Amino acid sequence: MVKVTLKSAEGDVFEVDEELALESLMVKNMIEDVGLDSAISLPNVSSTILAKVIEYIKFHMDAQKDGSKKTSEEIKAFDDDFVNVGIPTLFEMVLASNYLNVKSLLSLTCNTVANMIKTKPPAEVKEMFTSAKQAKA
Amino acid sequence: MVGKEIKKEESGSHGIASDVTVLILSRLPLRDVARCSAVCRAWRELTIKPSIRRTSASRETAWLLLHKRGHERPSGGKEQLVAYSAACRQWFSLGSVSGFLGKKCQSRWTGPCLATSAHGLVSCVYSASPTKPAALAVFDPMTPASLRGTARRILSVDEGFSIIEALAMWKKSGGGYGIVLAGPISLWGSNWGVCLFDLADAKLSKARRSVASVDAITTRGFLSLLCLALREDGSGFFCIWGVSSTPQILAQFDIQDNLWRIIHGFFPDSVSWQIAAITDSNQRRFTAQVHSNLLVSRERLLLLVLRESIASFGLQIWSTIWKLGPGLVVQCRSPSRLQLPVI
Repeated sequence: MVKVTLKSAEGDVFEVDEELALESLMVKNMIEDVGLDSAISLPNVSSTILAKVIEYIKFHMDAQKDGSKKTSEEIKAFDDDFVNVGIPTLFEMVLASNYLNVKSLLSLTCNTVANMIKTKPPAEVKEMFTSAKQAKA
Repeated sequence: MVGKEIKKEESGSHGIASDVTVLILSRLPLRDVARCSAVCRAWRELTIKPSIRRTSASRETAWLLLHKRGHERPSGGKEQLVAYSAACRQWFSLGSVSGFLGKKCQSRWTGPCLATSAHGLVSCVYSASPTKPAALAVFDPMTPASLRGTARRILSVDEGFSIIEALAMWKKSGGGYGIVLAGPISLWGSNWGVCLFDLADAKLSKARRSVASVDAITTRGFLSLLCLALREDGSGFFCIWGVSSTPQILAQFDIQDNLWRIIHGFFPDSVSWQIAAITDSNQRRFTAQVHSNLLVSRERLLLLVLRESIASFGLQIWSTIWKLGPGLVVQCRSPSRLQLPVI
């Protein structure tokens, strides 16, 4: 199995299967451009978030494989659990999945944020986004 | 990057780039998009973008619209339009119709108003004064106030309707909207007119007018109810349904053939209903619509009559109704009364 080396913002190195890395269209393009020899550096993604993204892609790839015993309820439970994180982390995941161009994760995280915004008064939405920004800073 | 426009602007006060904000906002129901425009200036700029509104509106089907009449007395409440959105799963007030119509609408007008909606647009028929013909207005209730003037179209309906009984609106597959209205042309209610309108992006125009007599089939015309439903089935065919009270029959008006037909059997199982609305012509206070998203089974004709009481809306159900939204699930065969949440 060919391995791809991904380098997070902190400089941590993640070695993943090529198949998994190709799920990110951004990484896929990078591989096409520079090849597999050098590590792909992802300056916009922190180590914790990159680990989460890899965990997500891995779970869904396993679930899609033939012979997988995972039911749709289990997948849903994983997704619900996956986005059940603090707002700052969730926002970082939105940004990371947008940057890495992982469509399924982007749609999952955006839907989660949208559901949080739903029916909230503007002041609370503002509060939510401001707190996320402060946590990031 | 994969043919996608990526803008790297940071949106005002928040740490999320505007292209991601767009992704999040376009997943919200229209009502929440409008609410989010008040969050900050950057979001306000974003929420008036047609692309977000279009994505969001395409998920809104028709709202269940109720028009609450104002009171003639000065102490009475203002007229108000309330909507139930299946996407939001909640009732909300759209504000007063005269507020949307602006100066073109008489300030003291509190009269009856028929309203229908499709994909976030509302069309309503009202008459500003007894001497003037009714007018058809289309507006986008979620537009910011500053843009309302450009989002509003009004056209006078001078076809000689004595009363406009029914109104429906649908989105055409090729873009734009179609609006149809119907009502008695003569005072005695024997000639029923049907008038079609076209709404392209910027223009509301009269598409076709047809008048068909209903005398021949009911001998008495439509006495108390007109039920209206529009649908676009495989053949792209629209019809209007009328119910005559004695004997109770259902008549279908085929817009394409310009003919009325009697439909036997009160509950046609083969029909999938998109919108059905009933008004009571004797007492103009009655107005109701049945919302397709609120039905578990669409293959039944639902009759629903709404009575406006002083403080709240009540519903009288004339046949089995399956679901009306959260907290409003009813299943009853006999006429009964239930209270809608007071808005």
